[in-house]
This record gives sequence, structure tokens and C-alpha cells, in this order.
Amino acid sequence: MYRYDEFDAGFVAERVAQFTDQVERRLAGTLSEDQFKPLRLMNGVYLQLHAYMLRVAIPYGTLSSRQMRCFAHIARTYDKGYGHFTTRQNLQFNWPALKDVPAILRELAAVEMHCIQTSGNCIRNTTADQFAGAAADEIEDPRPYAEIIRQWSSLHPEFSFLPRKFKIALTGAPSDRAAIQVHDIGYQVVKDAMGEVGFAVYVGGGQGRTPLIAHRIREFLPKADLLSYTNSILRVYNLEGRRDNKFKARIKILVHEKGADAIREAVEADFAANHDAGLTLPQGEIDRITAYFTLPDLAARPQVSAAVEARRTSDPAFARFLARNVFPHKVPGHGVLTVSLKPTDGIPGDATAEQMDHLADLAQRYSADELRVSHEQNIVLPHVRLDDLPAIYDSLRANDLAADNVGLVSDIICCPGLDYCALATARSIPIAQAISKRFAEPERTAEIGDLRVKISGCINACGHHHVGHIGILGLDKAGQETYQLTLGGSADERCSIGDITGRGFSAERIVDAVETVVDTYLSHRTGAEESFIDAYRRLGMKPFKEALYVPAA
Amino acid sequence: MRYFKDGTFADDPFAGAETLSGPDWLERRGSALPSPLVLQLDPGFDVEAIRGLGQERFGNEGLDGVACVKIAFPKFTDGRGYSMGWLLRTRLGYAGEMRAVGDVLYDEMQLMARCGFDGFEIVDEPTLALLRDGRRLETIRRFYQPGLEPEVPAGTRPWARRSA
Amino acid sequence: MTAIVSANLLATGRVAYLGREGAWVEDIAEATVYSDAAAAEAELAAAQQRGGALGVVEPFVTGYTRADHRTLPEGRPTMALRDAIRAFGPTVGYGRRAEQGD
Repeated sequence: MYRYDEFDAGFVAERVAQFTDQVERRLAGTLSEDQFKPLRLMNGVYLQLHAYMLRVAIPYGTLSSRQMRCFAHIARTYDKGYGHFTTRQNLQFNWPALKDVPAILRELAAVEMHCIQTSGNCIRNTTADQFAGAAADEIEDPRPYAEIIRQWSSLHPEFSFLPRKFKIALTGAPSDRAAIQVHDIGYQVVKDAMGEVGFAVYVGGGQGRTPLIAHRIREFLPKADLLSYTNSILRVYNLEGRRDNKFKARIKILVHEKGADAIREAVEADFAANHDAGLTLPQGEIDRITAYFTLPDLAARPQVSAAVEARRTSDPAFARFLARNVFPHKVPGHGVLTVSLKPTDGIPGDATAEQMDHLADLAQRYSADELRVSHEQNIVLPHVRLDDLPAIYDSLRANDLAADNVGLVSDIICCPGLDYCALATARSIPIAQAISKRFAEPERTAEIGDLRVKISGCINACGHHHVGHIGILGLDKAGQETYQLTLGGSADERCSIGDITGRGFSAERIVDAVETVVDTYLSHRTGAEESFIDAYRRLGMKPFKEALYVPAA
Repeated sequence: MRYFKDGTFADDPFAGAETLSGPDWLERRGSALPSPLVLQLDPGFDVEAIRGLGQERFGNEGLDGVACVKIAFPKFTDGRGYSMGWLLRTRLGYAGEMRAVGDVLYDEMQLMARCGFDGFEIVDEPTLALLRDGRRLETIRRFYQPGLEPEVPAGTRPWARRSA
Repeated sequence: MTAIVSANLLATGRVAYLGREGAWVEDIAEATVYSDAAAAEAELAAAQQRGGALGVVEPFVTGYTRADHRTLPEGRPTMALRDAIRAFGPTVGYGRRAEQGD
């Protein structure tokens, strides 16, 4: 894991002092709300329906048990005993008082965490594959580069007042688990013909009101140029991005309106002219940062664990857990374990302080003291021995954390919606809860197989509904919550935007509609090996639409 | 409005001088221009075009003869001026006074300074009060990217700097 | 329709309502109910004029009748769902433990 050196710690301390002063001036009335709002957003403080919300960055989704325990402590001390893990590898506290935020920031700084640029029209928390550094399928760990971008983008003097927010994601594997094609910039680690490792550059993806898939504007960017090239993209965007309409201000609109070729030309021209000292990365410095992310010293073990096999045959629930929640690790005899925060009737992404502490304990005992947060709002124990899985499973069960549904219909991505969010037009959590109850039968969910359901409570699409295999968008139609259904979206390397089925459904009807879609898939699929998304791509909308909108008898 | 420069309130050396907008200046180049020459560039003005135009139409003079460039921040949230300032200083080599005007607020002034601004026209009363109280712009002294104020490298990361 | 003035308290962010003698109160039952939106707007303007809104953020006027209050939190409110959630909290449990009632 990355550890702060004296410089990093000093920087965060200065930032905490700066924000503390801003809060004091706001409370004293010498900063107006109009002046303060962009400043508090740049430090992750929103005003929601009931209270302020504080969003803490978990850079590229990696955290230690100590940091997780700090979350639990803050949840107990300054909040109502829980927190919400978001789709961008952040943690949100729903009830902090503004006057307490400086104290919370000092607690976070003590464990090398911060809220810098978790909101606002600036470069946001840089995200990455939650399996980075552990997954068997990766070319190279993207996190050292995410850390370099995190540092470079912190309080950037030129790019702190962009037309709109700016999100960067990285993946080190050909399987895209970080949804890079729906980010403002997506960097994918690739190898060129000579075997040199660099990045393919995607620009202009995004969700929200106008969902667009990113364009690949460069096939290969040498590692040394990562910051220079990012700087050039940001400069073109800062100068040319639209500022006349908030809904057209993201870089995706600029790319869409001007064309990917024009943007590529502008970026390449700036990049060619860019002689800013300090942005070219020396290999020695890349190596120094990379050393922080070295795989823990895990001794190779037998590929098959006798303990796991014995339990698998005797315990069907454990067998399901194994099949859904464990991913192959680089080191034989180990696994990458996803802990689902999506139990039946739960609030997706929410964890209590007790659960946070428990996860921290498990990480300390079984996973080289490391945890990850996924954009699917789950927690990952990245380095567990297969032999330990039965014990970990039992421990998770005792803490309501053993849901065996990773990647299944009940593993729902869901924004806070109108229950918390000032921007929301409808509730999303109750819909997620109702779907999870409808599909609570584990044999049935396993039979349905891979199916990503994603729910947003407004058009801003924090719940990623556009890229859900099944997407649900909550709207307000004349005072009634109405839910629009989309099918066929996908956030992975075969990224696609879902198609709207037709007119929306009431809160009472939307769960039936989801079940109708699932049943239609089951009756049309060629076999269990044809996943929902594959079947949809083969069948198209027609059979689903016919099943959903049966003419009234 | 008060003029702030080099850490203190000062008399504006260009008070009363005729100020040309970017387009007016481009239009009137080649004919008699006011002296001292003070420009005001609004967000959206293509700073890099100065270089191209300078070479094609006016030889290499670029910004020679310009005594002061004011860059407007009509709202403090419009951040185009930061890139305009950065490009003027780095790519066009402009060395004269570069002044932030408009919605100039205390909390953004250090960012402006790091992008090469060395003069400020301030209207906001709380900002004036803070500066009158002796508040310095340098709230942050460690940076993760090279800036244009006097700064020195910090540690081995080439992008890390400390204020000098 | 009768109306109230609502906002969030600057220091804590908690929901507040304009109540008796221009005080901001956290319980909607203590909110002053004005005869219509225009009357509520006028009271808000007056409060702002005398500096009585400095301790709150984003004040606004919204329709509300006392009768709504009696229907809540059970049953579907006639007041806007958003206003009801602001007044009575999220419709879902606070974290999973609360959801389970322990």
C-alpha cells in the first residue's frame, strides 16, 4: 500500500488547516454560501436533504484495516453508526455536522486519508480495478499510476475550476472491472508490439443525462508521458469545454460535438508543445512508487485446498459462496474474496460501524491487512489463503456479510436516491430492497446467472443505470415516483448503453417488470451458458417489450 | 476596488490607462496603440492565437510592448483564466504584469499566483479584510505539481514542489 | 394551499422551519403555517432582510397543511414526498442494523 511520507502528511495537514479556516469563515458569515459551496464541495461536503454529507476518498479503492477502523470510529462518533460505500470508491457519511468536519478531517489525516476533490468541478478521486495487484489476469498493477495521478491532481492550480467534474479510471487487465469507458478519461494498461507497457487512452465517456461511451484517442501512451498527456487533455477541456449549460459541460459533450479526431488533434498539439518541467516521469520514480504496491509475501500453496473441498461438498451455501465470491489470485493457493454488501433487503453499499470493524479484523488476520472497495459497492479481501476460506465464511455469516450473490441479480448497484440525496427525483433504495427480496432464493438467483441490475434515483446516473444489464431510473412524474427500465447496458470491456423498454412503471410495478424481464430471458436463452447480456444482444428488445407491455385484456 | 501586488495594497501604475480588449487589440495592431498598452482578455479568448497571429501578421513581436494583461474572472467558478494565464507565461513567454480582475476571492488567489498572476484587482470586502489583516496567500506550501511562483523541488518526485 | 418556510441549519445541516417569532425550529409541528405561498415568501424575505436567515442555508417555501402532518409517517402523504422525507427522515432504515430493528 502507498504510505504517506513527510511531504504527503504535511500537504494533507495544510489542506485540513485551509479547509478548517474556510469552515470558520463560513460559520462567522464572512464567506457567503455562494462563495463557500464550491470550496466545501472540493473537500467532499455536500448539503443533502437531512444534513451535510461528507465523502471520503479511498484512492483507487485500496485501504488498510486501520483506515477501515477509522471509518467505523467516525461513523460512531460523528454520525449514526454507519456509512455508505459509493460507485466511485468513496465512503459517504450521511449525518455529519459542518462544525464537526474539521475534526473528522483530522481523524482521517491521522490514518493517511482525506476528502480532497471528492466533489466539485475538479479532478475527482482516481479509481481503479478493485482486484488490482492481485488478479491473475492483469498485465500490470495500475495503482502506482493512479497514485501518481492522485498526487498530481491534488489542488491543481490550473484545473480546480473546470467546466464540470472530471473522473479518471484505470485498469491493468483486459477485463475491465473499473468501467473505464464511461469515465472522462480511462487508461487501460496495454503492451505494445515490442512488449513495452503503456496505456491506451479513452476520453469522453460518461453517464448522466447524455450517456456516451469513450473514444480511444491513443493506442499507446508511454508511461513516462502519463502526466503530460493527462495535463494536455485537461487543458483542452478547461479552455474549450462548454460553460453555458451545466448539462453539456462534461468532456463527453465536447468530444461528441467536436468529434474525437478534433479532440485528439487538440490534445496532441498541446502535448507536443508542452515543455512543462516536472511532468515527465523518470523510471526511477515510477519504480519507487510501484514498490509501495508490491504484492505481499504470499507463499505459493497447493492449488486445491482440502479444507475448501471438504466444506464445498457438505455445504451447498458455502459452495455457492465459493462460486460467486472468490476470484483467482496471482499466487497459487490464494483467492481474491469479494464480500457482498448486498444482503436480502439490505441497503446496497451500506455498512455499519460494527461491520467495518469486523472487515478490518478479517483483513488483518487473513488478507495481509488490506481491503478494497469496488465500484459495485462491495468490499474485497484481496489476498486470502484458500485454506482460510471456511473460517472467513463462518465469520462473515455471523456478521450478516456472507451474501453469496456477487455478479447476480441481487448484487445491485444503487445510489442513495430520494431518501438522502437533494438531487434525486425518486427513491432507489426501496426498489433495490424489493428486488433483492423477490430474488432472495439462492438456487433461483444462481440459475439466472450473471446479471447486473443498476438503479439511479435521478438522471445524473450515480447508480450507473445506463450500463446495467437491467437499468432502472427513478423519475418524478407529476408527483408520483416512476421507474424507467433499460436493458442491454454493460460497463465492462464490451461497454454498451442500455435501451429504454418503453413507458415507465410505478414503484409497485417495477419489481414485477424486472421479474418479467428475467423470466423472458430464462425462457429464451439457449442454455445456462448464455448469459442475460449475451441473450439480449442476440434477441434484441422485441421479446422483452412484448412480455412487458401486454395489451390490457 | 483595491489593487493588490507583491503581498500588499498598492497604487495601480496603470490607473486611467486605456484598456483594449483582446479582439480590439488584434484589430488595431499595426496602427497606433495606446501607451502604456494594457489588455483585458475575457475567458474564451484564444491565447495561443496570439502567437500564430504575431508570427504571421506582425513578425515575432507577440506580446512585446504589452505592459499589463488583465485576465477576467467574471465568476470565480469560471476557471478558463487559469489556463490562459499559464499559457501566456509558459508558451508565449509573457513577462509583464498579469493581473486577475473580476470575481477575485481570497481562496483562489494562491491558485492564480501559481498560474503566474502577479497582480489582483479586488472588490470582495471579506477578501479585502483578510488581506488588510495581513493574511498571506500562501496557505499551502507543498505542491504536487510545478507552479509558476518561486518554488523549489521537494524530494525525489519531479512533480513535487515546496514554496521557495 | 397553506405553506411553510424550510431550510437547513448552517452549522449542522439539519432540516429547519421558520417558526414563531422568526426562530428556526427543527420539528415541523412547530413550523408556522402561512395562509399561502406568497405570505410565506414575504415572511422569508422579511427574515432575510433582518438577518434572520444567516444561520440557515438554501431556504425555500413549500406547500404544507397541518392535515398532511397527521397522515405521516404512515400512509402516503399529500405533501411532496421530498418534503415528507426531509421532515421525517429516510423511508429506509439507518444502516442495516436499524433495518433489522436492533
